[in-house]
Amino acid sequence: MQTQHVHNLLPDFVNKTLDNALHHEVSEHLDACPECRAEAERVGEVFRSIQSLQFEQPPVGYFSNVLPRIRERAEHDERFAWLKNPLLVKFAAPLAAVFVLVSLANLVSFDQSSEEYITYDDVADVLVRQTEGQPFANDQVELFAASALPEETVEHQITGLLVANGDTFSFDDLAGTSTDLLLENLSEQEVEALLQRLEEGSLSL
Amino acid sequence: MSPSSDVELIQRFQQGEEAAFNELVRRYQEKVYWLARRFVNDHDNADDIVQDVFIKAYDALKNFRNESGFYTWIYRITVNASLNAVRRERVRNFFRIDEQFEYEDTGTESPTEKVELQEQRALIEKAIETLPEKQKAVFILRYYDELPYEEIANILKTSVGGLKANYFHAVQKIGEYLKRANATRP
Repeated sequence: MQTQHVHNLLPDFVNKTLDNALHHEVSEHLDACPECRAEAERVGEVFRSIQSLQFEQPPVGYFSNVLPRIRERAEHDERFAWLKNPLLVKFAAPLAAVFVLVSLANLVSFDQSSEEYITYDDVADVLVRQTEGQPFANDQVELFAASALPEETVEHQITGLLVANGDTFSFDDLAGTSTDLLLENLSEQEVEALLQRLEEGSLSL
Repeated sequence: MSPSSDVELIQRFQQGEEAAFNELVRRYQEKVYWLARRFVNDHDNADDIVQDVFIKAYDALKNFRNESGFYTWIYRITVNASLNAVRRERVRNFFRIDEQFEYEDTGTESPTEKVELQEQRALIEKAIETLPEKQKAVFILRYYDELPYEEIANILKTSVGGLKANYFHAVQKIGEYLKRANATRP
């Protein structure tokens, strides 16, 4: 002890938290070592400064409120503990993805089934498939139907009553109606395509 | 009737007796609060830590095997939570443009004394705040909580060997900080 410095023991020496024997040894060393004595002085000063630091007390009644608040939080956490289930966490992303996909699929099929207007292509398809027998109800429809078809199909001299999806669209329904009503029955895309063809001069009603 | 030991309370809690947990909270809430408070220097932050520590304890106690003792364990959780709070605060301070000091009315000092006391307190808090994490933890646990080095080693999961040096260096750095700060004060 006499030959080596005791810096690391000084905080405990100053605060008198060393056991008696060690405290005595350090004390003897300080008597003989000016460097450690000076260091012990500095350590003592620091502790005197720190002792003046009084932490503000917490608000009155704080400690009597700790437990009820913890209880409340613990109960809340327990209620929602299932959200922390590792299986749920592990599969949350795939489940969410499946849910989104199913929702989107439903949305698409819903849109399709609820669509009031068949598409321009659908008209063409139906015209191709249903070319049996009966004449068109009027020239306008015939002209429209014919113009909606590829040229080679038109060449087949389509005749007959064309019914597309029965409940949603029927060329029969259009018999004797104005062009305005015909346009009202078309979707935006169909109208757009129709306008384009009108502009191009490839269709005239 | 003698009070139940921590081990007994934990066993009772693990067997479903919720009141045993309440007793543990009542027993340790002040120690946890003051330990946290010395790290974060702020009541609200310390309160957040107290809440987090006991909620964590509530969840983890169901599987607690009492290998290190509840006291050491709860101290360890508190030290870690406090150090995390200090880190978060450092990040916040980094982005803070200006800092406001609120002077609290302690009721007995003159306005000048109040300001001086407040300044001195802020200075010491700052000096402790600037310590490296381990030195800070050792300083708080040794000086304020007066824990034996063996206990501190258990809490910090380190060997006893370097703790006395950590403590001394912490005191030395606080002293150097105060000296520099006082030298530049008007």
